[in-house]
This record gives sequence, structure tokens and C-alpha cells, in this order.
Amino acid sequence: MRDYVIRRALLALLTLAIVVFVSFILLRLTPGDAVMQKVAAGGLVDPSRIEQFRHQLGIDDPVMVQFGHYLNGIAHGDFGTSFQTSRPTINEFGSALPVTLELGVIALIFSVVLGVPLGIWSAIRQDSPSDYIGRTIAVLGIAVPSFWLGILLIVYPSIWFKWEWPRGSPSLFTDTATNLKAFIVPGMVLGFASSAYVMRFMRTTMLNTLREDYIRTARSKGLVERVVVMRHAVRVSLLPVVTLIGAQLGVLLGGSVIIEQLFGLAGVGQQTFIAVQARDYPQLQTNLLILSAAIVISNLLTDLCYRLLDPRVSY
Amino acid sequence: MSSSDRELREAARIFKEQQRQRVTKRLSRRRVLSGSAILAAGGILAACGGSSKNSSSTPSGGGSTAAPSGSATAAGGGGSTAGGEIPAPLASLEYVKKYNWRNLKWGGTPYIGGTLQAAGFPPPDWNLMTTQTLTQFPPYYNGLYYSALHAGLDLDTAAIEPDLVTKAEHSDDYLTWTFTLPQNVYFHDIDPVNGAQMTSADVKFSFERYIDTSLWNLPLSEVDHITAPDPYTVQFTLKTPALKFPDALALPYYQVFNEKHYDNQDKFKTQPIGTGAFILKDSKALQISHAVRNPKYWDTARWLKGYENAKLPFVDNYVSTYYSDIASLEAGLRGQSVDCADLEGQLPSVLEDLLKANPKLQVTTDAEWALTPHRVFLNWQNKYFSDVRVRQALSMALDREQIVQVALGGAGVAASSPVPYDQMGLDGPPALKDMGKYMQFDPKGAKDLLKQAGYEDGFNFTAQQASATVPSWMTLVQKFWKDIGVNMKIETTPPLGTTTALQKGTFDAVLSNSEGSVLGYDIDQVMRPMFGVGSAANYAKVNDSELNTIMDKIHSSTDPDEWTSLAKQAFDTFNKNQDVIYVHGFHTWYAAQPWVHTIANTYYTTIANYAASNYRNVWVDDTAPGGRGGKKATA
Amino acid sequence: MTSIDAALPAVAALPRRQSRLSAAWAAARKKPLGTVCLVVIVIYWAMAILAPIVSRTGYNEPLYGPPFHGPSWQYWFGTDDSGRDVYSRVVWAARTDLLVSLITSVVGVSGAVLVGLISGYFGGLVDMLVQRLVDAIQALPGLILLLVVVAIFGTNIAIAMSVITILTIPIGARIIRSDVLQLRQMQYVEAARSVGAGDWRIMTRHIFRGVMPTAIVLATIALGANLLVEASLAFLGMVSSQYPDWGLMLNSGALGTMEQAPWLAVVPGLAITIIVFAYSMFGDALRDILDPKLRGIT
Repeated sequence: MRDYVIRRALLALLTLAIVVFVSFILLRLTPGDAVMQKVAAGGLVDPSRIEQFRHQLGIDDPVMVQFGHYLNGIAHGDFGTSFQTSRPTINEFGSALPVTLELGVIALIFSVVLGVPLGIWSAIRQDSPSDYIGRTIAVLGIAVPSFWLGILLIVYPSIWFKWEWPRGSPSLFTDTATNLKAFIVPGMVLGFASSAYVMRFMRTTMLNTLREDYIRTARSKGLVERVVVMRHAVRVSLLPVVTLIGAQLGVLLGGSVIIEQLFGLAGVGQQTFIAVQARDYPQLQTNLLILSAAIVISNLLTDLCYRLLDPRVSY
Repeated sequence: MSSSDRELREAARIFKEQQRQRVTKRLSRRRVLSGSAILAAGGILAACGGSSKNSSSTPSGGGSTAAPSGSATAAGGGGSTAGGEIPAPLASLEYVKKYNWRNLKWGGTPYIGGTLQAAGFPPPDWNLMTTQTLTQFPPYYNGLYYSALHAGLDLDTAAIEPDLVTKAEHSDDYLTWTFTLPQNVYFHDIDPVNGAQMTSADVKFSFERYIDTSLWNLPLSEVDHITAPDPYTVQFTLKTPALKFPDALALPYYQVFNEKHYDNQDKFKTQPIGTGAFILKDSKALQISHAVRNPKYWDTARWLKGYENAKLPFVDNYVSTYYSDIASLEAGLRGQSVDCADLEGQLPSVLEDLLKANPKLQVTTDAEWALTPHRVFLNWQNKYFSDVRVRQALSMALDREQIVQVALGGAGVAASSPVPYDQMGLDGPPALKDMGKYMQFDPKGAKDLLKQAGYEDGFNFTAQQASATVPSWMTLVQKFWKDIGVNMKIETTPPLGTTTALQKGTFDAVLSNSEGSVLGYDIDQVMRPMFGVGSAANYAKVNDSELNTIMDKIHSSTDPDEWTSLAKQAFDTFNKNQDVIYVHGFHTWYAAQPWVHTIANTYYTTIANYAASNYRNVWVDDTAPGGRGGKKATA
Repeated sequence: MTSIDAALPAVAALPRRQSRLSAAWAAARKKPLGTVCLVVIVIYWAMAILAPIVSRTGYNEPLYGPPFHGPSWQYWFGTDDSGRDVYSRVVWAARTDLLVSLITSVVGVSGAVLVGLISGYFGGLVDMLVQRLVDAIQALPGLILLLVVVAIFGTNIAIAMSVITILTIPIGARIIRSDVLQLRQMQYVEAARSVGAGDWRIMTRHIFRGVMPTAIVLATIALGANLLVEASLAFLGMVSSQYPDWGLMLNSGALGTMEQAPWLAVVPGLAITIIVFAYSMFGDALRDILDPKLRGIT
């Protein structure tokens, strides 16, 4: 087992290295650059001045030279300065991270709070109308486009109740009430799709578990159905569902780009989106590195969990 | 000519007459230069509440300018309280009523204190040498000149005004310009400047940096050197005479800063320290920024009767929040957390939405000016478009009036040109029918011209455009061209892609909402860069020798009358040669809640331009929600 | 062990007369929701294929009616900002959206099958390398990768389709691979090998068939998921097309006029929701029929 973990960890590092290298090269291929992006606005600009600024940012060097500088920087713990804000990219990421984390946590909580009970309920009433309702709700979670739902939730409350969601990412600690008001709805929109997966997975796991022998044993012992369900089946079914949550990370990060944009929350998703538009290579590099590392680690943990659950499968 | 065009001209003429009779000739202590040019069309970069969902700033407007009709006049009529309703002849226009246009009240009793919450665009950095988010700087800085702010629509005044200039003089040959600075101006009390007094050394230093370091040096290329003979006098010596040199100084790039500030580059890029009405406390890029009143701000409400010595700004706090798309901005306006917003690129249909929810919303625009153009850049290096007959045909295929009706809900001007009518000494916008035969809707004539040019069966080409969605004016242009056999495929590229294509010339055509604009206050500043042969900003590679000759003459002219007549020639030539197809002009709008007062209304454009966005003149009365209004001033 | 093999005894037990058709009918009766969804899918596809007949105008006809006209007898879903008939645009857009999702899913799942087969069957170094590549692709959040690619290569819909296809492969490949790993141990594979069947034969004949049910289920999941991804991209302005597309329709000016012209924002969103719902539910039903054991894959 230990060997397996080490081996997987090393391989994960290799994956990460590939990601970093490829994304670095890809970015330098994008037409337009950070200076052009500033110029986009004003019109009358001196071409030699553009070159001067390019040189200042270091983007006129050949690509491999730039990559060398980049690696050198990383070795010294320097992840570069954002072309847009002139601040260290790590700091920028750090200030955006809490927003996405909070969104993600709310999304996960919502998906569990909605998905798990719905899944259990649907499982114990399999093939009844309640089951159909439950499954329909779940599939709706998958089918409704999150950006559409977000727009509807922004516009119609404002039309009907003059209600709006606070923008500007108020702090959770100093301004808790406003913060919650700002994050609840986007978090729920983000979590709606996840809740569908959680619900369905919970349902199928429960169904499988309920068929197991030891459940029949519990029933034949005369235990009340609810005790059977709650004490035995649910506990066992929860574990695989937990692994599913880990696998949602990539989905959440992608979804957060749109949701953060719509609701005006300065999270990592929005930051990355804007960095692409602004050709802010250092910021993008850092964000991609950290996000990829997070996903790789999360996949690693998920794999390990699967392995723990089912040692029969040889990887 | 359509009835709305005719009504418009008539109304404008009457209104101008009334204004002329009303304006007092009392000179303020700052004399406005004669013959100085008028503000260019709005176009604010990355204007609040955006045009683009992609939130990369899109430039807007520019490219159109106007000249004043001559004489020096008073700046702002102190005491005239024109405002509120749009004056009578314009008020009867159909779309004025429909969209609830009004001028903001400029007068009354101010309310001191409170918070103004504007929809804005907190920029990622505050580096004056490179930034393009120009509307976000004016609350914190001052320049030498800025776009004029007047009570109501005071059409006889120049469109730029002195800001940090108390007196301006120029030599007879227009080569040397001497400006006197006020003596009571101090920078914000922030390290490393710490409230130092502003002197001519700061002005000299700032402009020298703009010339030798910034991205925006080209408009100052006529400057030979700058001297500061005493602490309150600064002198610019030019290489060639410039009739309207202050127009260059009034460009929103050129704010005055202090040498110590610049020397600390980290600080310079992250914290504005200027002489402006507000001090920035914190700012999160593309999120929200908070600013407080500058207690030592030098300007008073000279224009406000009874309160001429009241210190500006009126409000205590200024908050700017970013709205990524129009739906959330509308929600903000309905929910009343947004006090004022630039709706610049938005179409009238959006206004209808807003007015439904909030009929008291003040929508201001210049009723008679719709100078921000929608245009099509045709690349002259493409074999079709270098032929003047093809361009003329494409222009004639367009039913501009119908496009204005459908795409702009009637609120726009079909007779659009890079030469605004003021610079030609006209009283009102010309009618479309007076712009020559190539601007008239004549599909048969268009087809004939195409046939003459050898393209009887039409041709195909691809055009790029940069908004996330294809606006209806573009689909209409596409339809009209299809009707004469020209098939234009529209490709959406992200804004940076379109700009890069413009810069590199790798395009057939670009449908421009505002891309490719050049900022400027007069046709020399704008037309020559855009259409002059060899100019960096001549993206379409226009090579019109007739127009070139006229523009060269304008550039070296030092006679205002000659300038005016040359402007008319430029206008006629442009209409004839259709170097760039100007489809129509649209109004830029601003929305302000009923409790907001005196957001300045500038000459050619709406409120949220560079100068007015300093918000120094704004007050918020006590009907503002959330208790954030001010308190009524005691006289 | 595979569904087909498991079904064999059941099929053998059926009375001779019963045809595949009635087997299908029986299945349909057991899964009413799934059947309804299949009908919905068929309707959508009919709409797309018969677009020139079913719609009332061409796909881009400005000034067909007055702009922002509400739903009425003349304009069933109203008109948009250029006066185009929204109903017709929705119908034409079905072509774009359904085709995009079909191509990306079919090619993507085929790719996943290929990769999963090779990776799972051969194991060893091949497996490791392929897995690393798969992991690398999966490591980047998909939407962000799409943004970067679009920034480089432009907003042509073909670009977006290629990337979406590539992104479909890793997830599918993993699942297929674990299937293959299980199948590999199966006794009949041993048996086939002992008879002298070559690797290639084993792979194509036995394992491939064994993987089919999973692949079909994956395809139905992908159909819905990829449609959503493409719609999101269009909404963000990262995809442009001269043909209508539901995501693009949501984008174009619909957002600023939701109070006076709500149909512009509501109709395309509903169109997307309904078809993705149908794909997902139908996929569920299919999965239940093909192999109840597959219920584990969400």
C-alpha cells in the first residue's frame, strides 16, 4: 500500500509537470498580449512604446528563455508578479481563494443537505411516485444550465421584490450577514448540479446496500425498518458518496467561473477568466499550477479511497 | 428626410436661440480660451456597467469631435438652474418622452455628507503610464484641463474647461503656451507625498513622464520642451503651431502627480495620490472600491447660487462597484443599491426595462447629439475595398433610418460622420439628405455601382466584431448588404482578438462598436490619426489623398475661420469617398436615481465621461435609501 | 458477466415467438419516464432535421417582424431585437446544439473506449503513460482550458468542439478501463486464450462487446453534459457561429431586456433544460435495462 501511494504521488508530480509546461507554452501562443490589451482601449499608441513595455514585462524574450526564468523563479519561491496589478501572483490568488472556498463549501453543504436525504428517501421508496419525483428533481439539477438559473435568480427577485444580492465579496468575518446574503444563492446554484449527482449516487448505493445479506439479517431479526435503514444502510452507503464529493472538485472550479462572474464575486474562477482575457501570464501560470495541483491531489485521494473500499481491483 | 430628423434640427435651433439669450456674459475667474475645441464624443473606457460581459474594457466612442462656434463665454452660468425637464422644443421629441430623458437639476440647496454608490470599474492597477480605465481616475486626480461641466446644456460654451489652470496665454504664433496654476492646491495626505503642495514642478514632471514613458505619448508629440519659470507658472513650447493645444492637455490620460509618488513605483501602481476631490481608501480590482472626501480639496461650488464658497465634494463617501453584465446592473438599479450608472453602450430597449421598474429614474443624455458612431472599417488593402465605388455602393445599400428605428428604437442619428456639425459652424445636425448621394438609401444605385466596379454578382467577405453577442445593427447591416449581393459573414472574436487584428491589419472588415477609436476633442486630434496616411491608428489603411490634403491644412491652420471651412470640406469629402462606413450615431446614456443631484452634464456626451466622473459636484439628498443621504446645507 | 451474456439465458427462456420489438415494448412499459424522454428526444431530433419545414423563417431573417414583439399567433415565441422570429431561431438552433453534442459525445466516447481498451488491456508501461496523459488532461479545470484554447485559436465552433471532445475522453476512459480490468480476469477470456485466440481478437470480440453497455451509458451522459458545456461557452461569448445556437440566443441582448421581453431569455434556457433532462432520464432508463449493475455510475 505504501509503495502504491508513493508511486502514485510521484506520478502525480509528473502529471503536474506536464500541465505546467504545456500551459506555459500554450499561453505564449495566444495572440495579443498584456500590453496590447491595455492598448485596446485608447487607440493612438506609439508602436515603439509598446515594445518598450513588452520588454519591461519580459514577454519579448524567446519562449524557452521565459520558461527558464519562470522555473528559476519557482525554485526561489517567486511565482511572478501579475501583469495587471503588479502585485505578487500568489498574494492575488490568496485573496481570491477564500471567495471560491466559501462558494465551494456552501455548494457542497447544499449538495449534501439536498442530495443525501433525497437519495435515501428515493431509495426506500423505489419505483413509487415519490421516487420519480425525487429522481426528476435530481435530473433537473443536472439539466438546468447554471448560468441560466443564475440569471433568473438575479433578475426576477429584482423585478418582483426589488431584491438584489450584495456584490463586492463582503468579508465573512467582519460583515457576516451581508456575506451570507451574497454567497448563499450563488453557492446553491453551484451546488444544485452536484446535489443531483450526490442524490443519484446515494440512491444507487443505498439500493445496492439494501439488497445485501446483512440487511436481510437485520430485518429478519425484527428490527424496525427505520433502524435498519438509518443505522446500517445509510452508514455504509455514505462512504462511497464521500469519495464522489472529492471528484466534484473539477466541476466546481469550472462552474465557479460563470457563477462568480454573474454574481460579482472575486473568486479564483473569475480571476482566472480575466487573467486569460488580459493575457496576464504570471497570474494564469500560478492559478493553473495551484488548481491543477488541487485536482491532481483530489484525484489521488479519491483513487486511494476507491482502493481502500475495493481491494479486489488491481491498479 | 425623416420627420424625426427634421424635428430634431428645428428643436435644436430653437433651443440654441433660447440658450443664447439666457447665458450671462459674466466671466468666471477662469477664462476659457477662445476657439478651443469641444469635447469629443463620450466613449469611456471600460465604462461602468458594462458593455462587455468579458469585462475586458472596451473603448467606446471617440472619433467624433466638434468645434465651438467661436467666442469665449462664461463657464457655467452661476445661478442658472436649467435642469430637470428637457427644454421644450426637444422635449416634444418622441424618444425624449419615451425614454424619460431629462437633464439633472443643476441648482438648489445642496446636501452635505452621505455616500454615493456608483457603478464603476475598479481597475486592476492605478498606473497612469499604462492604464486604459480612464474614468476611474478623475475622482482622485486633476489635470490641467478637462471636459467642461455646465448647468444644463449650455451650448455656447467651450467643451473643455480649465481645471488646474487659472489663466492661459499663448504667443501669437501659437508656439508657446503659458499657464498659471492655482496656489491653494495640495496632494492627498498619503505617504510618500504627505500633503505636499502642488506646484509647476509637479506639472512639468508629470507631463515629461507622459512624454517619455507612458503609452499615451503621441498626442503630446508636438511638445518640444516644458519649463517651470516659477512655482505657479508652467510653459509649454511646441515644435509646430497648434491652434487648439489645450485639447491635447484635456485628454483624460494626463493627470498631475508628484515626483515622490512616481519614484515609488510600487505605490504609484497601486495607490492613487492626486489633488482630486476623493481619497482612495481601498480598491479590489473588478470588485469594489471605497473612497472618502478629501478635506483639503481646493475647489468650491462656484457655479451654485448662494453656495459659491461651499467646499467640494459634497458627499463624504464614494463607492464604486463593478457589475459584470447588464442584467445585474439592472438588478442593482431596481434594488436601489446603485445610485448612478453609465449605460453607455446599452440600447434603448434596456432603458425601457429600467423605466418600467423605476419610472422616476433620471435618464440623461444629450438629446440632440448622438455622436458615438457605429462604423464598419473596411480594409483598403483588401482588393474590394480600395475601390471607392465599392465603398460607396455599400454605403448606399444601407437604409440608415430604418436601422436607427429598429436597432436604436429611434433614438439615434442616421446622419453620422466623423466631423461633428459644430466644427463646421453649423447650428444643428445636418439632415441625412444633405450629406450627398452616397449616404442615401439607394439599393439600385448601389447595384449599379457594383456593376461598374466589376462585381455584378456581388462578393463575399468576413467581418470581425468584438462584443460577446452580435448586436442588431450588425445583423441589419448584414441583411442590407445581402440584398445587393454582398455576403458578409460575421465572426465574433474576443475584444483582444479584434484589436490585435486592427493593429496588425489582418482583417477584411471590422464592425466596430467602438474599437479603433481615437480619443480627442477636435478633428485634428481625431481624424488625422484615424485617416491620415501612415498614421499608427489608421487601421483601415485609408489612403484618401483629397482628405489628406485637407487634414494637413487643418493641422497647420492657426485661423479659426479657416479651420471651420476646412472642416466642412473634410465633411463633404468624407461623405463622398466613404473611407470608413459610418452607419449611425447613437446616444450614450446615464442613469441616476432621483436622490442624486448635479451629476455634471457635459457638452457632447453624457455624464460619465472623464471629467464628470470625478463626482465632485454631486450631492445625495435625504431620500436616498439606507440612510446614506446627506444633510441639507444651511446657507 | 456482460449484459449480453447475462441476458442470454433470459432471452433463451423467452417463448420463441417474441421478437426484439416486443422485448423493447416490454422494456418501455417498465420504464415509462424513460420512454417519455425518448419521445422528447425524437421530437427534438425531428425538429432539427426538419428545420426548414418546421420553422417559419430562415435561420437569420432580420425584420421578419417588429423587434421585441411578444409571443402571439404570428410569432409563436415572439421576436428578438432584430425582429427575427424566435420560434424559428430555436428550431434552427436545435441543429447546431444537437449536432455539436452528438459529434463531441460519439467521438469522445469512442475515444474513451479506445483509450480505455488499450490502457486496460495491455497494462504495464502503455497503461502508465496513457494514464498520465489522461490525468494531465483532467487536471486542468475544463472550462479554463477551453478559455485558453479559444483565446489562442479563436471562437470558431469547431475549435470548441474539438476541445470538448478531448475533455470527454479522460473521464470515460477511466471508467472503461476499470471495466476492462474486470473483464480481463473473466474466465472466458482465459478460455479463449487457451484456445489460441490472439490479443487482438480477444480485445475486439469479447472485451469490446463487454464494454458496450458502459459505453452507451457514457454516451447518453455525455450527450447532455456536452450540450451544457457548449451552451456555457456560447453564453460566455467564447463561441461564435453564424448559425443560431441556444446558448448564443441567451447571450444576445436577452439579458438587458428581461423585464419587457422575458421570452428571449426564458425560451432558449427551457429548450436546453428539456433536452438535457430527456437525455439524462433516458440514459438512466437505458442503463437500468442494459445492466442493473451499472446503476453505480451516476
